[in-house]
Amino acid sequence: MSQSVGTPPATLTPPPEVVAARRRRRRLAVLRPAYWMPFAVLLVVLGLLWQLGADKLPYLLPPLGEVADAVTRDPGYFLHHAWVTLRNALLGLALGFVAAFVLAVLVSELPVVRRAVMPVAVVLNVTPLVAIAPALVVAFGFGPEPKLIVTALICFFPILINTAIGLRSVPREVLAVYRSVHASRGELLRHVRIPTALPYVFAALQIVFPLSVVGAVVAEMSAAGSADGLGTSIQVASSMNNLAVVWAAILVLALMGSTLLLVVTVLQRRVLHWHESARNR
Amino acid sequence: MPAPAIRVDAVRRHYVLEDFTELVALHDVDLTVPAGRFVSVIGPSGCGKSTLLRIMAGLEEPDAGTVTLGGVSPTEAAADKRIGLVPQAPALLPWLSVLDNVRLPRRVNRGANKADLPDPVALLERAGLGDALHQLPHQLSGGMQQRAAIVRAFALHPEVLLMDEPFSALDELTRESLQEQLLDLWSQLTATVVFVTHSVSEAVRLSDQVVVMAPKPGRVVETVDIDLPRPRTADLIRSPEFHDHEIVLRELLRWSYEQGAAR
Ligand SMILES: Nc1ncnc2c1ncn2[C@@H]1O[C@H](COP(=O)(O)OP(=O)(O)OP(=O)(O)O)[C@@H](O)[C@H]1O
Ligand SMILES: [Mg+2]
Repeated sequence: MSQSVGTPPATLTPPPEVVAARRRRRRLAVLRPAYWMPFAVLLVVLGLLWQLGADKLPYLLPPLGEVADAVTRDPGYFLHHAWVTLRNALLGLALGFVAAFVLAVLVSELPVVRRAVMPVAVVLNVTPLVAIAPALVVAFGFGPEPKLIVTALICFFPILINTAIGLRSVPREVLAVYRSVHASRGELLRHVRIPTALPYVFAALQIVFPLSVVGAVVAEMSAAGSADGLGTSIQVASSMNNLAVVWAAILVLALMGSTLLLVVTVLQRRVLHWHESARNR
Repeated sequence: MPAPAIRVDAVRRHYVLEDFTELVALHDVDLTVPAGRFVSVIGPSGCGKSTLLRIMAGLEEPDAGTVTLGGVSPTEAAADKRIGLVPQAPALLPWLSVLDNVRLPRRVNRGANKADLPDPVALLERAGLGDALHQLPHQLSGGMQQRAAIVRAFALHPEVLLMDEPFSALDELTRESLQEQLLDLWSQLTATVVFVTHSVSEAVRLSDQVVVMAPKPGRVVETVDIDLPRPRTADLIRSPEFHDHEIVLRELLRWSYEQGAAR
């Protein structure tokens, strides 16, 4: 049973060009046709259907050329309004995140807080925000405040629920190990509970990043006298029957939401490289 | 600090079930583990082995009776970091490297750390994990994860080591080599060990004493001394004396299994 000459080694180091090729392949996976072709085909088909529809129903759909014209004629206009909406969305999201995260920690640590807060949070969640937005505009005026509040509210619940569940998902045996060395609640929170909750937090972020744009736009549309933001542009343009600008603004919003989702996804892969979600792809 | 004796005195533990009846998980359990001894607890599934271990670790309070570790309560012993716990699953944190997993229990409740803690790198190397120091748990095999969990407990230099079926998920040969490494580490550290297992030969191989439990209600039925010399060499394990102990224990275990099955 001696180690015979024919026994292969346990680890292999392929030639450098093979390693380099593998690295390149992983990085550039999105550039391979098999990756983007299905989506590109669908995009072309949708574009053709759109043009067909625009031909038949000119009052419902503007031709894509006109939409593109609207953007290229005055890109500064769209850039400005998109920036305002993006800023409101992200600030509101940050606000909602901090509030929800802190509250999730309190809720999971203190049963008293849980019993007090959760019913309120649930009621808040089932109340349509579109209905609250006008009331907030009346209270806070046409400045950014009601937009931030609406966005924060819309992002609040998914983050609260997911984080609270995540903080409580520490396996019983892990808890046993750290309790047996008398780790304090703070130490347990910092070293065990919060990292355990991260995958849940990111699942919530996947939802609320795009949702923050929805919140900002809903608030802008409710504040009829607002000066800027893409929601305002859409309202103004549609009241003037300018369909091309309406659709250009909608496309910019869709692009914005997708970009935000992409950003979280990339961030998530970086931060959660140790998690099953990053490995079982 | 010398290894403490463990004293379990008339411990009862009742779990209140969904229908408000009570399950007697432990009924008047008495158990004395002399200082520095290696005692195994064996018994059919559901006889309360893990419950007993959790009570000794201060994770659960008994409904009646007392437990002391070297004269103090389990909670006080835990606060002093005198307990090393190896649970049934490795319970490694998936975002920390093997080395950081071993270090983390030392970074919490720092005030209770002993003056001369063993070097975690040296311990891991000794346990055959020298190449895996910076790997994440998911990159290790099950046996390697279990070894890391054992080193994590040893790195605290505990005076009491509580282990819940640490090797039950491993193949025979890995299990034997880990048993050897465990005895090797134990002889260095002089701790009092309570080791839960399902395996008769594992219990005989490792222990000074084997406690046999029976279910429904969970109780201690017999304590068997294993008066075999150490180190327990391969020759000894093949000896008739070793087999005699195995036969006695297997008989007791069968009896207590039938106790549970009869109800
Ligand atoms: N938290 C709990 N609530 C209700 N019943 C419990 C609880 N924990 C354990 N039990 C019951 O107590 C009994 C003893 O459980 P325990 O986990 O101590 O058994 P065990 O001897 O470790 O079994 P195994 O060998 O399968 O690990 C079992 O019948 C179990 O169902
Ligand atoms: Mg058990």
